[in-house]
Amino acid sequence: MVQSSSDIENNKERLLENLHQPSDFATRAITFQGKRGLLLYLESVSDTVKIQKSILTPLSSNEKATIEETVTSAKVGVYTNINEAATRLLKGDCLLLIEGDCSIYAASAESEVSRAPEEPFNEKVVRGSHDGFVENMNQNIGMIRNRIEDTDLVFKQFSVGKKTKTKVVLAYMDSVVNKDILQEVERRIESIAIDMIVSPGFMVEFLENKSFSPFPQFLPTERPDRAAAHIMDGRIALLSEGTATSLILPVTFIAFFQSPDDFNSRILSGSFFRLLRMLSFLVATTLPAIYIAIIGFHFEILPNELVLPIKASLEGIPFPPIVEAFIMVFTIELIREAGVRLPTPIGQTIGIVGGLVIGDAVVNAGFISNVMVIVIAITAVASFTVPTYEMGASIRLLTFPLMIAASLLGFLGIVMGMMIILLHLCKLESFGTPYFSPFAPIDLQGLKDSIIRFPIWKMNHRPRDVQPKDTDQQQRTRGWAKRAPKKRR
Amino acid sequence: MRLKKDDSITSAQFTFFLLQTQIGVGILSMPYNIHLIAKSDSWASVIVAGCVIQLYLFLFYRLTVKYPTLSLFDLVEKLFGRYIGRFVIFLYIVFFLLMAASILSMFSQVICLWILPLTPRWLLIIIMGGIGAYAVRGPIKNLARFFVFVSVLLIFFIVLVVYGFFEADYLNVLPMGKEGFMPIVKGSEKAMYSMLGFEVYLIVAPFVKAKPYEKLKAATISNVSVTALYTFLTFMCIVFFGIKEFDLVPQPILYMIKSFSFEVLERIDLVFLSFWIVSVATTYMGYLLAAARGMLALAKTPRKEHTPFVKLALIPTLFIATIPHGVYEAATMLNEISRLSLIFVFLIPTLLVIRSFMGKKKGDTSHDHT
Repeated sequence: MVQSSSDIENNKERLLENLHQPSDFATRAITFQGKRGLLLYLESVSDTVKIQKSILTPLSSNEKATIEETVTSAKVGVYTNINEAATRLLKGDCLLLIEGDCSIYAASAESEVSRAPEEPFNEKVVRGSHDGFVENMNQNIGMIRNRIEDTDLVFKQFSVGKKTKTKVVLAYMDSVVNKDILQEVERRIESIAIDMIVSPGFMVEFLENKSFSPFPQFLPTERPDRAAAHIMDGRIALLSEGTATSLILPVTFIAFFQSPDDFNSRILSGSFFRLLRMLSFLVATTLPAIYIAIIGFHFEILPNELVLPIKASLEGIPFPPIVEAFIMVFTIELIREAGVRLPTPIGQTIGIVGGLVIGDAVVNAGFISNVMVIVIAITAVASFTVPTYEMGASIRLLTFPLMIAASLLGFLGIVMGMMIILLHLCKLESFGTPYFSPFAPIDLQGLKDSIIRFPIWKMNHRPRDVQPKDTDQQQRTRGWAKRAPKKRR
Repeated sequence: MRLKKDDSITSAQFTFFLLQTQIGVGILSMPYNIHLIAKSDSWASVIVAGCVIQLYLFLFYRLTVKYPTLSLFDLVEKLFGRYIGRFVIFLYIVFFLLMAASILSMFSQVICLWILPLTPRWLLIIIMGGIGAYAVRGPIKNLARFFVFVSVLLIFFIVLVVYGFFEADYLNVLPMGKEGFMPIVKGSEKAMYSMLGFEVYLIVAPFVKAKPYEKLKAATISNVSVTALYTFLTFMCIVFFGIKEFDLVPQPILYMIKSFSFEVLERIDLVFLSFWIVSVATTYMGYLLAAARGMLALAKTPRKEHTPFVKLALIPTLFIATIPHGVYEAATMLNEISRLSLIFVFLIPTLLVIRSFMGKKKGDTSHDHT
């Protein structure tokens, strides 16, 4: 605890010492009501235009009032502790030291560095909002507020990271959210003791129940409309400063397969897309395994017409099917990983080289069978139809153990593998809510928005897995569609 | 860590819990076993068995009405006294372990016979046992969720077998009652063995958050469904094979399905067996859970969780399951152990009910040791 003194030069020296002589430190001598003064700020985090407008101009014109009354900044704080004043400086405040005055005045002048909202790169939609979160917390909060104009919408701030002091905000609807879940989330956030929080990935690992589960238990999203919709369901959105990704918690398995597009397209086509995605989940996890099992164990399951073409393509292949499959999956993963990091034009080139050249050459060379290339290609495409990147990655990981099981035990291996996955899904809970809802525990109301989507006017209740306080989300949405009046006799 | 600590299931989950425990290994060979005795009236035997089981469900219901929070093991100890009670609990654990082991054994034999003739049986047993143990660990509600979800597969059973209607000859069931009344009753004993599993009612019922009559309703729905399904399967087997051919097919449903062929799938029986594995697994899980709960009751630990006992229950089942050689030995073992159910599932609960009424007259049961 270092107290400030009335000697402004001394105060300045102590502040500089506290901040280890920063290179972006700026100072300007001023006079206020005839007294000498110093204005201190950090060029990198303070906005000079703001300082000019709300501090310097008023100071030079006013002659009588106190500093707090004169300065027109949004916030003015008074400190007598050098350490506290230094933290204010780091937050972008401009410090005022006046000769003969022990207090240090901190006037807010932080510069707002932000970019324009853009459509999130990996959550594109065909119709609807093309808005996306940015790195600036206030702007993100604003985007949610614009979508939910209700006094019940609460933003609760926490600061995580002993050194980085990252701002973390929980957004939820007070009238809907389950208080037990909220309390548990708060308790877990407060218990995080770490120097540095860099990305949402850190928060995920500190908050989730089962870190080694292959399934993501929080839904990362950069779409404000998605976040707002989940908040209205009674879930909690976790925003953190400096990242455009918000985390929705607790979520269910099915949330990873829903896309805002489902509700922008017509009911039938929306349901069709949903079905397609759920099917793609099954295909992506089991298709290579089923193929390996059929080739290795159950050739007799194929009808006669199919036996010949498949036998012919297998002719002369030096590897067993499991090795073939591993080579192909490995190649595809390589191409994908290479494509992610590269700039778009080069990424496309890599895709063409990898997909066409390697795929064609490997068959011509007789290393891999035609059918295996088809199977692995379909699997890869299917795994990319999942609208959430995290779930897609999880699914691709699950393919491997199932392939191994299939090569050891055939269909039996696949069934046993799927049983383990299912059991795990049934056991998985995030913040006390069942992860595999509405399938297990089965929830008929919730099934309306699962593998298919019902008309929006049929979904009168919020999802039950989070046990919201307010379960009804709408009544009589089509009030104009009056029933034909009953005939009176 | 978890928000809600209570481990309870709904009455709907209870229905599926019983359903999945009842439907199991027996589904493959049951029609054949009954057929050996009741011939073309086998389907009637299944219905008789269903009625007997329903009768026992009423008895179980009496017990749940009187002691809604007590499980089978608690009841045994309460009504038979401390020493005899604990001995009976021990016998129950042995019975459940033997049931679990014979299911495991039968499963591995059928798989070796139909799909993987060269795979070592102990490997199948260990993997299946491991999955069962993984499932049973943790709260019962998680297991119930799994049981409800996999019940979707039962629809495939029915659809696959319904296909047999196209090639069936209905005259095969006629004349009804040809063998007389006694074979039907005797055959129902065999049917009952395949429908075992309803006894977990007494173990799981305290976890069901519902009134006693709702539990009875749930169990009744389960029993009626199982009876209907088994009657249907048996009926299909009779009309499909006829009396003479039936004698030659010890796993009639598989042979029946094997004869169908579709445009894209030639051997449907492999698909059927894959789904059947899940049903076997659920039955095994049911018995493993019963054994682990029994051990918990015997051990009297302050923590009321069966998870630590699952390993203890798993290991003997693995060893016992490897004993029989060949599918017939396994079938015999399953049959002999199922015969024990006459004591454990039918006799002892009856005694419990009688005892509970005697206790009422005396007004006090605490000092009884005999």
